[in-house]
Amino acid sequence: MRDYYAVTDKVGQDPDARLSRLDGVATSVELSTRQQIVEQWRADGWRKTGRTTIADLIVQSVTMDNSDPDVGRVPTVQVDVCYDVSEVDLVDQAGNSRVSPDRADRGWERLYVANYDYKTDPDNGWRVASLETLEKAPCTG
Amino acid sequence: MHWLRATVTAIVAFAISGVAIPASADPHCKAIDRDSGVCVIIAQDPGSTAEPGPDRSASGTGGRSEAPAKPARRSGNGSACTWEPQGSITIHLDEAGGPVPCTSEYGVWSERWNCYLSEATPQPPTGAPEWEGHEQGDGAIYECRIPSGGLQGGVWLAAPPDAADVGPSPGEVAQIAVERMNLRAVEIGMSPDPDGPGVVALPTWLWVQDPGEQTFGPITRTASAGSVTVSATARVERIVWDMGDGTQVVCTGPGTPYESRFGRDASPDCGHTYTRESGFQPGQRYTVTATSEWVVDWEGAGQSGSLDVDDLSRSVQVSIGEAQVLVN
Repeated sequence: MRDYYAVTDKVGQDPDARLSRLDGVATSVELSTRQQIVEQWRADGWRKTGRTTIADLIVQSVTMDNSDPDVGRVPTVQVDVCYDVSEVDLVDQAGNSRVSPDRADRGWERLYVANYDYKTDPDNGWRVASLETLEKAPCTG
Repeated sequence: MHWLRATVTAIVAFAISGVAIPASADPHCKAIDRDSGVCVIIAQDPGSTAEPGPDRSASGTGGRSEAPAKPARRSGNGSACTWEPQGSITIHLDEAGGPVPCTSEYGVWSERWNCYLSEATPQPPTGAPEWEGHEQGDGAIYECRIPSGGLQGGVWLAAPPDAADVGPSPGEVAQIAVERMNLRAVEIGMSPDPDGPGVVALPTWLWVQDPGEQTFGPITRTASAGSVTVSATARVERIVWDMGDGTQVVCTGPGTPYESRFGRDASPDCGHTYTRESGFQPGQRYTVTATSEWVVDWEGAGQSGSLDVDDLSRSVQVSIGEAQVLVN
């Protein structure tokens, strides 16, 4: 989980970082989405500064069904993460922040962490495959 | 139309200069980019998007030559697939909407979803929001991308999108409009009259006896099919007169009807002068054929184009003799 945030931070911060690094932490639609976001930042000359931290984490469910990975029946862990981006900024080439003034420094999102290679790599094959924002009050503390 | 059974999509909008969507501004926002604070996924119901000079031949007055080849006018049927950028979710504001190929490297175009669809690989796992409650194996998740490749999110479809599901192209609808025009061949106007004898070296006048919208145009009709409505206008581009003696006369206008006051003058815009009597022809007559070449310009679904329709012909026979002068 921490790798996911660290790698997405890294590829956003470093315009020269290979997008393929995301392959190690994301897959399926989340990989496509994350690639798209970073590609767009780079096309616009934006880059990320600072580091995302995890303020809280709650495992919601664990499914170990690995009956048909091709259709998404794979071991999956649903994790609610309260992230903290108070130290994160998104700046353009002129150094101006492109962050929405409405952005919350903290928020909850649900990550669907799946292992499509569970048979061959049960320990290290976990990737974030999908993500959704949760509508609930940010964590405190 | 399997994809009509699709349920819900998620549309991703990416934050770029001036088009970022503050998460708080859209109550339908389903996912916020935690870094920029803008909405990157907007719930959207399927189907809420809106469904998108000729080389004229000179008029002839008796030139002994083959008519130039018919000018090529057909510009294609247009595309049945049209992209309509939506302001609130458009990734690049400078990208104009309009016709797009119905298939591309990003998949098969869906008018319903307003994007190209290709199956997500691998498929999202159990419980992921893209499934919208469907079980794995019940349909599949497809990535939705605009023509430039920008990802718009994932959509669930009961069956794979099929390029054959797209509706008719505007050009195909224009053909329907043309059928409604009931175009017909011209009635031949000719002097000397086909019923009477003509004379070698005497100018022959050629004209359209019944010029009207169905014989010469312009004529406009509209037709609709699916979400495409097209207005088509047809007109005769030229008439090729085959005089039967090896000469083809090309006239771009309807010609001028002969009147006795013109005497032995040649037609100002469409005529011919025989140089040999017709006695050697079968039936001792020349067969004169007027072939109308039509063009159709169409406009609809944000596109325009032109197409050809079948030529229409009518023939008459005319007797041409030698004038005998007796000199005492």
